[in-house]
Amino acid sequence: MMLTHFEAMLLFALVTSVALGVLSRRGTAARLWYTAGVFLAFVGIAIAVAWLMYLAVE
Amino acid sequence: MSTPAQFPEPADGRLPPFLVALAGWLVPGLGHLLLRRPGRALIYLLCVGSLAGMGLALGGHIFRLPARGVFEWLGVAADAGTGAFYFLSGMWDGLTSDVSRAVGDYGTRFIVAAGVLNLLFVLDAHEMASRRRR
Repeated sequence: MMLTHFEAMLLFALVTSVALGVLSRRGTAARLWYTAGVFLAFVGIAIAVAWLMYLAVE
Repeated sequence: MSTPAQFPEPADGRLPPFLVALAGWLVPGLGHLLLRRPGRALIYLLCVGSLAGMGLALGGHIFRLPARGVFEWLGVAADAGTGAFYFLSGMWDGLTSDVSRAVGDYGTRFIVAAGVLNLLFVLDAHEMASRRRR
């Protein structure tokens, strides 16, 4: 199975955010919002850290 | 003729929390299925199964006993959290880990994350079962 680093990160973020959303919130709407927020936080922070590392090396 | 195994069951017909937790650990989602939460059970099974399956497919390393050092012990504890996936992966001969590539190392983290998530699901099932008995 070949995945790029970004694809692996997206899959991890998706599955983990769904699990945390179902686990920690009650009600469909609250779960969806929480899942979306956690997913975006995963991806956004990963991209921000990646840029920081890239700029630090440059 | 053998008699079926008898599990300790409370008088009100509800399953004891430790049995629900044990079932949820062995088969991710089974604890919630026993509590008649099939939707949650399916989501939890898919989450743990997909993470563990992707981790194995990416060539992730599975920590096994005997462990050397604290980090390997933590790895064993986390990986064993996947329950059936951990034990079944030991029987699959074609399984080889390759952490020389970055994706293989990601696979190791996927398997660890699957185990830790399932332990959270087990705690949730135990808490739900305990609340029902009160």
